[in-house]
Amino acid sequence: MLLDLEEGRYSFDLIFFGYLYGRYQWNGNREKIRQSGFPVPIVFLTASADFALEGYEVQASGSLLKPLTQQKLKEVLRRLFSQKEERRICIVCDRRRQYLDPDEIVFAESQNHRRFIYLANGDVLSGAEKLNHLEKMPNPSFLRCHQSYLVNRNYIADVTEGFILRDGTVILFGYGRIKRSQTHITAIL
Amino acid sequence: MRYFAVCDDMAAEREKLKKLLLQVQACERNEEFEMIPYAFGE
Repeated sequence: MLLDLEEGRYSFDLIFFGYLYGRYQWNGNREKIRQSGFPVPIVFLTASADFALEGYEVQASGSLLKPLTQQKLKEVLRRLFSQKEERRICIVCDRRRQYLDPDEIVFAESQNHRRFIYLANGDVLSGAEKLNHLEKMPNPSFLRCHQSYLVNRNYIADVTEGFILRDGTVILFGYGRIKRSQTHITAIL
Repeated sequence: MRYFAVCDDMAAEREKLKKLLLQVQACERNEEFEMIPYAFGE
């Protein structure tokens, strides 16, 4: 599954994860999925309420207690996907409107009066909108660390003289933004 | 189309979930689901 994710064979909307083994194995798999750079919701399938609680401990998107029923499944899908639809944001790219899940955006850059949005799947969307437009959208995930850059905090792997993203991209802090960025760093850590 | 990965070692459990997803799909008019099954470690 991880190979399929990494090679982009599938872009999953949701992962159902049967809980059979111990906490360690689950945590390891979850971390691998998270590190692969795909913010996919994960739902635990478990036969015991104790394990369901562990799902909440590791911040799974939900747990389904076996035996599974159509009603339980319907409820969890409705909850996850209606949240996702509400969160979509509108971006204008070369006069076309595109609706994106903010989780798909890794970072945005402003260069020569153009705005470039770099997505997790490798696509780059260009347009004339300013970064402020993206920054003002009701999404707490974006951090302005530089006049020309807006970074999705979910893709930050490390912080040094700038943000180091999971794919190794370095976004340096802009002059005068270091203090504000320190507040951001505290919020992340 | 929504793609779901189902990671479970027990084939019977994966099959059960697939059936349920098909039932839910039949109720939701504008939704299409595709389930991709995996065992742990795959």
